[in-house]
Amino acid sequence: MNAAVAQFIASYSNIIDLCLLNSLIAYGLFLALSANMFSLATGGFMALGAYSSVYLTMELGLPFAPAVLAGAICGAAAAALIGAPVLRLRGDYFMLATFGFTEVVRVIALNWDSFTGGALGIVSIPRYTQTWHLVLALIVMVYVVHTLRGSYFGRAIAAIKQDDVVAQTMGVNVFAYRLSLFVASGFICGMAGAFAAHLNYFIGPGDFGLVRSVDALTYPILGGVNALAGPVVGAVFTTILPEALRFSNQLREILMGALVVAVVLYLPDGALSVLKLRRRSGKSGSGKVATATPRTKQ
Amino acid sequence: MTDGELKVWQIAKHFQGIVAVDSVSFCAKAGHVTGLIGPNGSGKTTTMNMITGLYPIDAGRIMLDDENLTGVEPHRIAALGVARTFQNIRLLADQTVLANVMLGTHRSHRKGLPSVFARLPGVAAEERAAQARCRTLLEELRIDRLADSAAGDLSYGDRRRVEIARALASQPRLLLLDEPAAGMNHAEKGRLGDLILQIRQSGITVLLIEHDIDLVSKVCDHIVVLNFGREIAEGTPAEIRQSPAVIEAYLGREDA
Repeated sequence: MNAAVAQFIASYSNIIDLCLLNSLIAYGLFLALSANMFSLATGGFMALGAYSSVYLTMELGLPFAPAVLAGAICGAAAAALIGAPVLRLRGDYFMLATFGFTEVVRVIALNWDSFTGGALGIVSIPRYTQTWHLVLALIVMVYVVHTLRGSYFGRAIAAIKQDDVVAQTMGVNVFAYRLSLFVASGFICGMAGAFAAHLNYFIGPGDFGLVRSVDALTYPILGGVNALAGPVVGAVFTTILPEALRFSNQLREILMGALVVAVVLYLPDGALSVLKLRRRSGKSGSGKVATATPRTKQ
Repeated sequence: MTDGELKVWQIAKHFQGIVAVDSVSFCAKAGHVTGLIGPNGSGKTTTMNMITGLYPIDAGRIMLDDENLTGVEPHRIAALGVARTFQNIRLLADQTVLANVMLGTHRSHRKGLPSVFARLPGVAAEERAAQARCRTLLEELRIDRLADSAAGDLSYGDRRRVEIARALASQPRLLLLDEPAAGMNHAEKGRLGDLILQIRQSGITVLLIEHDIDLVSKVCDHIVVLNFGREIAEGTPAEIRQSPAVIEAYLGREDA
């Protein structure tokens, strides 16, 4: 039995690491989404974390732990810098501005040959990232999110998400909350970038572009932004599904796209809202289900 | 300095050339209920939005006791002891009544993030105290039986009460009520009037925007009347009822 488990883990360890990494990213996005920030800056933050940590380990010979921390701090610093102007923007404009940031980082990575290796990227990066690093980071992250949600901070964040005017008039410093969450999101994504770089032997500018940012946004949205486990469910599902659909390369992308559309249409609060619906209908009859689902999303 | 006297001097607000409020001045005396009335579009809600900092003011000055509210951010104004309700009720619909009211206690929490993450016992104690305070408040407003219902499922009158409870949970010096009786039936209006007098009793200054003249006459010590962004009359309810300018604003000129 144990041997079977060991074999399973050995043959799927790549996918497990990827699931853990993407779950971490998903929580980074979850923090931003919890205050209605649809951020496309993930790719940019991850690139900063990846390149800076690789520079520290490969060029300066620093140990892995401080390099990861530095990568996370780079992501957080970038979030703090762009946060002040960008957070004044609403909805679509915020999304565009964060996308612009990711593009700027990508173009810099593409052209700054001496630091990033340009279009060819950086190869033979030592594989320092261990599965337990990712597990530990994820556990800390889940604890942080869980504790926040149960505190008055979480209450203020929930209020900002639903009605920031109410939050303000009740004494919540909405801008400070948004900026802090955005910086925390940058920290997590920068850390994830550092882990990702030391997991793959190779990084290039194409790894951290728009696709990365959009994927990261779909994890918590698919899984559900109102449930603690939502980001993990979304990330694991989106990571495993392409593997399961390996039989057809074209179909894989199409099915993924169709799935996202289906979830957004029928489960606007994410896959985990199925549990909530069942609980509600069990309690008060099926008539209640209809009133439980629709929710306006800006 | 916890009196809660509001002074407004010649405040003005323009929206792209349209004058919404033009040089309005009045005073809401500490511990009194002051009514702010006027026909639709006369600038009442704009005035309230300026007092709470939601609209930056173009000219004039607003003071609460000896503290300046002019150009201060909304959350800081809230911290100075100003709470409000909204004309179009703004509750967090999918959260419970208790959770909504608890939002009002936000400023009373003193423990920082490190204590929260370390789960220090003080954090839980603070949360319990806030919750106890909110439950008492719900009892006083006779909506304690609804504490665990979703705010969105409540009747109109009850939602208004929850909004008032949320505002009171922030322990304000000054409470602003924007048309609290709108959409209420006669009995609900009566109970609302009693509630406002009860709030007055507890020493909180109230500024009330309202159309219902019976309610205004019943609870207000003093009334300010606006029309087209200007103040056209001021006085006791009895004086306001006799004022030719007010009658003209509401009913039109007799010879017209």
